Amino acid sequence: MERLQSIDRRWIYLLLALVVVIALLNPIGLPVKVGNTTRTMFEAVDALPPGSVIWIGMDFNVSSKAEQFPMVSVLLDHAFQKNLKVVGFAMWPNGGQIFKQLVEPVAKKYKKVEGTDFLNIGYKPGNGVALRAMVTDVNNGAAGVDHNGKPITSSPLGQQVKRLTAQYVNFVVDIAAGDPGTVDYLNFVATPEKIPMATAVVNVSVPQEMPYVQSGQYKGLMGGLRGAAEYEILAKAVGKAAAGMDSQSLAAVLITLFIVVGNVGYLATRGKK
Amino acid sequence: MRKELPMIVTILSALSLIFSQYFFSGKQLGLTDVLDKWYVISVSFAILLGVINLTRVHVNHIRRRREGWWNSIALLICMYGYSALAIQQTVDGPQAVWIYNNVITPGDSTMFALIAFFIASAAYRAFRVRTKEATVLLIAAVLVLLGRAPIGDAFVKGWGSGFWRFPSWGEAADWVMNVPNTGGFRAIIIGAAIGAFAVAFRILLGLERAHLGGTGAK
Amino acid sequence: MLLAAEAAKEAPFLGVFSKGMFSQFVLLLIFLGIVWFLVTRARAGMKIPEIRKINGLEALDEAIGRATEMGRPVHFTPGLGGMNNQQQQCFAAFGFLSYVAKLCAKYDTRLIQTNADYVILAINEEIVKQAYLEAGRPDAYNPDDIQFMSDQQFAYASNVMNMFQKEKPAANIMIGAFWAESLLFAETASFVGAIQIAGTAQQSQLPFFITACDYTLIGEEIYAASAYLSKEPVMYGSLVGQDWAKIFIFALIIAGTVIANLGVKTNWLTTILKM
Repeated sequence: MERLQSIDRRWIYLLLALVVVIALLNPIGLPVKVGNTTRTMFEAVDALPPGSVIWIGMDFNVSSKAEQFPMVSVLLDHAFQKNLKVVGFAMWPNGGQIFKQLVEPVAKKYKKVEGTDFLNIGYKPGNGVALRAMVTDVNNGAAGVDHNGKPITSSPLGQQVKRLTAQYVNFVVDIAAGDPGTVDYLNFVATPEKIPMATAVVNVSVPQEMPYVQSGQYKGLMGGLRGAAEYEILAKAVGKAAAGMDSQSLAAVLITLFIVVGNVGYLATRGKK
Repeated sequence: MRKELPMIVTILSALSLIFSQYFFSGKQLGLTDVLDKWYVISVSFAILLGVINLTRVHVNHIRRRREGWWNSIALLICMYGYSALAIQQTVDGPQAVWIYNNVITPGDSTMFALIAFFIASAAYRAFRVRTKEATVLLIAAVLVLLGRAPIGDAFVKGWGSGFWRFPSWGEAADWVMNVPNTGGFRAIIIGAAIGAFAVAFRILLGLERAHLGGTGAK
Repeated sequence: MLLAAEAAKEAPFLGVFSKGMFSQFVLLLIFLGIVWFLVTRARAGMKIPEIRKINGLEALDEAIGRATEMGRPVHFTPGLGGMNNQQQQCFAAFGFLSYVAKLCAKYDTRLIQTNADYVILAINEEIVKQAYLEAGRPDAYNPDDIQFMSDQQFAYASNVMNMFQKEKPAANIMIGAFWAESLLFAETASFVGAIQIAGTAQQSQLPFFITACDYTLIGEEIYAASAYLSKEPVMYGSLVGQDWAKIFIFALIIAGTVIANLGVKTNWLTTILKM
């Protein structure tokens, strides 16, 4: 019983790795129930009339690739299904590169053209400062060029979206893994400019974002891999997120088992003492 | 003047921002935009401080043949080599992108994935029914852990409706997230915001001086 | 520039204020007034309310003492925040570092201080150097122990984790803005048996710290640190002012809730706050 309290952590890691890999290779296909926050976000995007502009904040890094790449992909899929215009902007250095990587296959699927249907402003340094500059003047804030180094004003969409205000942008989604991110969008864009906003964050950030969902400052939220899987179901664009759900479930069960085992050992030895 | 000058700059910058933020004529002057640009440019130069520190520390490691000194050689080669490459072909250049995609991306993803393993070992180590508070923490953790995954609802399906509804595992987890958790988080957010404001005010008054070196209070 | 001019076309409120900024300015003045009032009282030596004990802060001496006894170093990190990102948490960390560095200098305990931001690095170098000077041990200050590692999150994290394994610090103090690296640090430090004191206002990382560390400072407690540790009445005054400001905010929240639930057609409180 004493030993149950001090299992070598390497056994824990090994078992966890096995469970995740086995579940990925042999999916059970557990049903995923769509949560309210994801549904609200989907409905908000779905209600936008064709031709509306959706601004996507790319505020994460490749480290959260597993959770956030599917979020971007499914959101782009939904936006292009609805014939929305998409603008990508990054406060994180690799955001522009990631957007380029993810938008191209989806654009190809829906035959969308860069500059007309979507614009990749890319990364601009300065965190919230860069975002504030976008509110004042997109072209000036981006130093005149997009991610590819082309003049912003050389594309129809670049000419159309002059400022990050309600006059030019109909909806904002910030896909964030930390700071700069959602708070900057709330402070500088959504609240003062009155643009409806939703967010897609890593699972660990969900609790801190919930107050803003409840207050109505976010029109929904995509939370972690599960959020992305739920959105995939709603947008009828099942992709990588749904595939990861089983391994997440089994990993949760395994961790719970470890907690139980640890407590059994603890209670048994406490009784002896 | 070593401490007074930074304090004067701090106070003037703060007053400029307050004027620019709250007052109409300040907004028209666009002072915030000007200060923002100055800030971005000056901070960009500060990267040299990091480069100098890294170089000094690791050159010393190599010189004194400290344990793992060859890692220091690798670090310096990577730092200066990648900088030179990025300057020569920009960060979007083919080799720079290739190195990034094949070194940084898997490295970053690996580190991020480690968290899952550490969560498992931390949960096993820490969630014990030692006290009432620890027990509450444990129950909430297990509820949310399984409830946020699809398997929770497979364990406990809800039944009934309205007032007589017995929640499914997922619904119970949602309740924990939406009610006690959100309430607690709101309190922390408000408290932290006021705390940050008080720190800013103490800096403005010159009470908080730790950043200027020394004890941090006068 | 044309667009900036267009943005400023709105009419001023009361001829002076930007749109929607009047109420914020009044609130700012109220908060300043509260803090100023209490600081002035403290300066004049008048009585101000007592401050409760914060365990995490009380434990700093114990942690450094333990490291001294064991002959192992103390590690301090302000996290990933910088001057353009969660700077207020960095300022909170400076107060801690100053205190920790002084104790380390006094007990002749090695302090390893790691950084992920070059601006913060420069400030921290100055803080530690000054602390050693004030402790009368400038010769013990080793600039190589104040290290910039990387501004890339996980490059920094892996470097710190490697340092834990190599140097085996007996105390790990983490105060500031942390993200995903929080648990990586806390777990690795626990592997080497370090006593851990952590504090952050990053709500998403608090559960990790509470689970994995011995003491955790939650949210605003980190902002109270420099005042609490300095034991200066004036700083205490600003702390009490902070609490009074919080009471004022909660009074506003309660008033807003009551008015909203009374079913009043126009919520005058909201109207005022939007001015």
